[in-house]
Amino acid sequence: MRGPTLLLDKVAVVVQNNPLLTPSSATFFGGGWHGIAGPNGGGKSTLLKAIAGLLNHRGNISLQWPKGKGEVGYMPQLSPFDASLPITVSDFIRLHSDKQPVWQRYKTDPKIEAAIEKVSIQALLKKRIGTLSTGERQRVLLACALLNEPDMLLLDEPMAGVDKQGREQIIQLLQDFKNSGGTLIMIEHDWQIIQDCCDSLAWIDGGLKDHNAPSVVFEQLKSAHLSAFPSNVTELKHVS
Amino acid sequence: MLASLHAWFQMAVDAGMLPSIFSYGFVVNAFIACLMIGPLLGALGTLVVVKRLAFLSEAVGHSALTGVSIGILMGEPVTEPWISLFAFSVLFALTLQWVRGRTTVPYDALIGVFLAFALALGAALLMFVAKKINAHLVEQVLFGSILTASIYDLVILSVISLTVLILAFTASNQAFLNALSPDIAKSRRIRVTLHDYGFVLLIALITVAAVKIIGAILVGALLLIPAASARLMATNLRGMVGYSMFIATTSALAGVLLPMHMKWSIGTGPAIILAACIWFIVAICTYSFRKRSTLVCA
Repeated sequence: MRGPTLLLDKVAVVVQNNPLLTPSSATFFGGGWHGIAGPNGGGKSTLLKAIAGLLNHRGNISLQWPKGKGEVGYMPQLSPFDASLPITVSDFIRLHSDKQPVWQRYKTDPKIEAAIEKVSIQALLKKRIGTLSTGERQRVLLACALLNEPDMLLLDEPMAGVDKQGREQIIQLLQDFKNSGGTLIMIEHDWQIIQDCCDSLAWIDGGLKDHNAPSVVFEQLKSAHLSAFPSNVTELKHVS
Repeated sequence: MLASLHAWFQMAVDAGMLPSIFSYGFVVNAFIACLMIGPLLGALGTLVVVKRLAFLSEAVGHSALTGVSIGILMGEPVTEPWISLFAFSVLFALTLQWVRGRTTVPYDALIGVFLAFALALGAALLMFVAKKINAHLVEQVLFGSILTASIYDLVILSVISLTVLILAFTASNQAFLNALSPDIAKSRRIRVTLHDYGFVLLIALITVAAVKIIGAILVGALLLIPAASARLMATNLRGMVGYSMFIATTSALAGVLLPMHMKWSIGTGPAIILAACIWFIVAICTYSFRKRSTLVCA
């Protein structure tokens, strides 16, 4: 696997004359783990959705693939599912594959089996997707994002609502993905995770305000005395 | 081909394998129509329920009423006003979808507006139609009839069934994913707008194709009730689709054949929907029983 390099060239998002993201340019190198952070409503999810092709945008977003075009996996922000719908985890994962219609009896698909094993959700397969806990749902969404063997993962708060053990599990999975050469773009609020895992951090507040190594961005933010920024490192995650 | 089918049914009746009602050609036509309408409405109904668009099918059903009225007023055959029926219902469904993409009005409110419009226009036109044709034919339009299924209906239903079958194999996963999580579907390069338009178009086509048997007032209910019942009984998506198709088909067959066999003078539409409602009661009982068993085990 060789993850692509992501190039943003004056990327802006305007919805109904309301600028959600001012023109921003940056390069996220291939095979790296890149964090996106910023205050609530700052445009982090907007930027990620624009990269995923979910929102119309101005400017250019391009991917430089080292070995021909590959797959991109997207994990959206946590959204609830209707618990009364008889849609199991197994059904939901199968919907991500075009190999076999979901209304037919399941015949083993190596890709699906590999994704299930990778994220260790065998015990959840018969549960309804709407009845899962937050952490379980995040793991299922991650399995879906990994299903088509992507070279790049776009993750919108993958650790939101996940307990410590679940976080460690997800981080390990993402670390393995990075080690195998994949590119990761991840929105994350927890400063500790960003500092421990990410190669770079993009600080988004209405537009791209800073893009550098996490520690450098943090120092710059601290020295700039942003009003919303805490003086204490550990408090950052509560503010953002 | 239809003639040979009729002959085959007649032979089966003569041999005592089928009840005598199958010696009537129109019963055989209605029977074959139900074997296509049931699975079609049942399968698409699951998508209606997952998308939470119960009122969409009602609105499109009521638009069929307007389509029939326009057709009759424009001089189309009373029992087969296909052009205006298909044209109006398809236009109605596509306009609804188009307006949805261009306003911030919530979808349910928008459907409510369109439903009221379709019903009001249909009711207004029906007054003029009633002056032109026998009132009994108006009743057929509203509540369906076993007498009206012709060879053209069967051909149209066959074409729609074949189309839906192909789509079920090629695009059903994408359609369900789009219904559950449009963002994920879009990120997987699924053409969600095409799916949304295709969905309302299919609803319109199937509704129109079934309107002569079930009637304009109740056709939407056969999209909804079997799928709502299946939702209570099934434990997974495959089960939901299967139950919904089974319930819709058995309801359609029971609603068409039972009144004929028992010589009850009720319209096929009400009979079909009443049969579906019995299934819904069975589904509620099954669900309650299962829930109680789970609680006892816990």
